[in-house]
Amino acid sequence: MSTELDTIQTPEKKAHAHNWQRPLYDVSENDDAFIVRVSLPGVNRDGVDISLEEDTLTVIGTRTSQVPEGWRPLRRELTTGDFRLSLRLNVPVNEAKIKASVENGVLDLSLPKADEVKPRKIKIS
Amino acid sequence: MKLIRYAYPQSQASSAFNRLFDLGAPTIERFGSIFDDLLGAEAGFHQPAVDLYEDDQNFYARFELPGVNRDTVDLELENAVLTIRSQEETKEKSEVSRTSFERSISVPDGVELEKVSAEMKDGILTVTMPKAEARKPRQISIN
Repeated sequence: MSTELDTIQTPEKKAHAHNWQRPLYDVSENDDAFIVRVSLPGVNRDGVDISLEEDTLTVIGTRTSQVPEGWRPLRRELTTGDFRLSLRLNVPVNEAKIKASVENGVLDLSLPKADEVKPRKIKIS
Repeated sequence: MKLIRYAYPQSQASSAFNRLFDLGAPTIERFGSIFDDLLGAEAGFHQPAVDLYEDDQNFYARFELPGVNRDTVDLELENAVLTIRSQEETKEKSEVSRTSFERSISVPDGVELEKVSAEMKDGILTVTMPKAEARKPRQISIN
């Protein structure tokens, strides 16, 4: 096979290797932290991978509950791809104190605000 | 001139399609996802998506219910119609939010009602509906 053909085929293969799907998510905020709730049905805690690189937060959810072999579909509505969500954070967060938990197919992420962006209480003396 | 508020016209259509399915129209694989692709999954109709499967012993319905507490889910199977309902109230500080949904789908005849079971795991609810003896494939040996 010619090398030219190889170079054409490789990127295509990569593109098909993963069928990513953007999950639904909510972002809310309180005084201390930003709360990100990501809906990841069919993903347990072992299937969740969270990374923070510079100001990009990436959540990858790999489906852990697969349809058993031998089940024949009669009708399908659910998507089967794995989940990937990238969020750009435009505020500094305290990376060391990020907390995450997974329950019932929902990932709860708490991103504590860095001290310099927290609202400051000013005492009146 | 009339001002007509823009509402996703496809959304209406797709929910109508959904109802068609729910009434037992023939199967087209992955129908629901076409609309999800067009509108984004969020344009939903507050109805959980469901897959229906079978093997030799059982029919299976798989509902995607992320974040739904199992105690709030009601399942009912009557006349080959499986209905799922949920109503939940969450209180956060002074805010009360209610989420509810309901969906009925038609399932094949010949289910042993007493043996239907359901399991919730990682936001996916699987309902197992054993086939009645008469519906199971049988090996016939030739003498």
